[in-house]
Amino acid sequence: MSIITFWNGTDDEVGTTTSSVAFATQMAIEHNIKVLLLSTSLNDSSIKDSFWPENKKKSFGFFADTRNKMIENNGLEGLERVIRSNRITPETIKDYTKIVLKNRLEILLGIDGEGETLQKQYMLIQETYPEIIELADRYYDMVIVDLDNKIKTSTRLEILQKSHIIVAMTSQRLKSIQKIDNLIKQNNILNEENTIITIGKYMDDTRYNAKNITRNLLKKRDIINTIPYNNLLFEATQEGKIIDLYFNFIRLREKDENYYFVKEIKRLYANIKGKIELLQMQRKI
Amino acid sequence: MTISNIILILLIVGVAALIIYFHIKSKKDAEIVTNIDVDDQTYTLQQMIEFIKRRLDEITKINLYDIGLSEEELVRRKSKKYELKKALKGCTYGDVNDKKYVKELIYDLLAKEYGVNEMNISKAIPFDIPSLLTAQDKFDILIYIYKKEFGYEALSEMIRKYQLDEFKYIQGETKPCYVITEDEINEIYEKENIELLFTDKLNIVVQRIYQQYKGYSSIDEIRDMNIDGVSGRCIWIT
Repeated sequence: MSIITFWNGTDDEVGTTTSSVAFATQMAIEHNIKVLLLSTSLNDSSIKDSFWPENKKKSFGFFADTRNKMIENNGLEGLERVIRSNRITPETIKDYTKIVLKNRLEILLGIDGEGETLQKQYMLIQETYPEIIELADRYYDMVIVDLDNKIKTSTRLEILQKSHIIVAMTSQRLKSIQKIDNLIKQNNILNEENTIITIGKYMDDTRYNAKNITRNLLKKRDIINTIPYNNLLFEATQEGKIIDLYFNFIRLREKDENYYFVKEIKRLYANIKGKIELLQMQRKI
Repeated sequence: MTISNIILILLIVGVAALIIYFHIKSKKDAEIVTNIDVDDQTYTLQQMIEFIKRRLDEITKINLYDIGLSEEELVRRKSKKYELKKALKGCTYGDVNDKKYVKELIYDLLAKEYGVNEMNISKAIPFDIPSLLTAQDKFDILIYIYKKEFGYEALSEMIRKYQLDEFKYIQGETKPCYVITEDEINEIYEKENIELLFTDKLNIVVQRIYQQYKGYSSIDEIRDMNIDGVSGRCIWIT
């Protein structure tokens, strides 16, 4: 019943997709809720690669795959056909998702392929994202959107406006954080009520750590959220083993060096939950 | 182990291998259309209709239990298959949304599987050579362009703009009547000076295929317009 959008508000590489994947997985495993992770990308297999190892196609001999390119019936490509024909309902969306954890975590993949036609199709599909997100919100407990910066500004703004919570990802660079903070202060697209600044690929062992940034730059009391860089997470996203990784993370003790990563995502969820509750009290959602 | 035992073992292994080979081969052959042989006739309307018929048949008749899906996946695939079957049934009764869904599917099948592109689409309808276009081709193009702009008022708008609702005399008839002739369509087509993108051309081809395969033939698009109705009659020639 909540739409959480992970958006990279800067020009830096901050691991927005990986952060959304990690957050969605942790939510699905730790809480008994139905989560949908929605990718808005074109030709970006990061989400797919995080959950499923790449299938090596047999290219020779008797077992070779001789089939032509088939039309895609899953993901946004399949769903878009349903939308174009005005047949979409909240329940329809689930038929086009890929299941990661039954009744817990599902993924609506973006578009893959090549050619000019695909580019055009992507431009058309973009228009349907806000509608899909809104409908998915009626079926899933939590819709997590990995917002790609390649989609056109008007659609991006519409998605941000529809989001209950915006996780504005930034790098650890002071200027980037300042930029996001200024955007919030302008109260135009982002505002204090629904935006959470989060530092992606965060490193703690520097003078510019979360504590100092919050104290000296943002001049706030609550420490800025972070998603620390984690080697195991990086490896798991390459090998399609993120679920295995998270099942190992459940057993982590405080002394473990990876515990900090899990703790930070928990803190992010706590903040999101707090903001959602506040918005619900104000009857804004 | 005697020689006869070894021969017997080899024979059994050989037979088993052959059975497995033919089993896998039959499954492979049964699954979906393989490579499309391209020749002069490949991109004609008739061949495209045949392809669409075959593919839709395959999609709706595929045995989902053979694919080895998980329980949840199976339920979802069944639901999608049912959705398509429902649309294929509904569109024959004139449901506009079902028609749209089937047309979108035909569009994707032609563009992504059959390999229809800017180069070969003119083999279905000669868009680039207006002199080769039939009156029906021209009317289909005109109604498509008008529909893009005026939606379901397309036909009314075309009739209004070119005053096609006037009482007129036609060759071989003694009484005047309300009629839209081939010459008028040709004239309108020339006046409109239409330039089509590939997507427009494909949409027109898709409509033509749809109306011949599932729709109401030449009146299919007219039927959907905001009009009082369409009536037809058979003329029996003995």
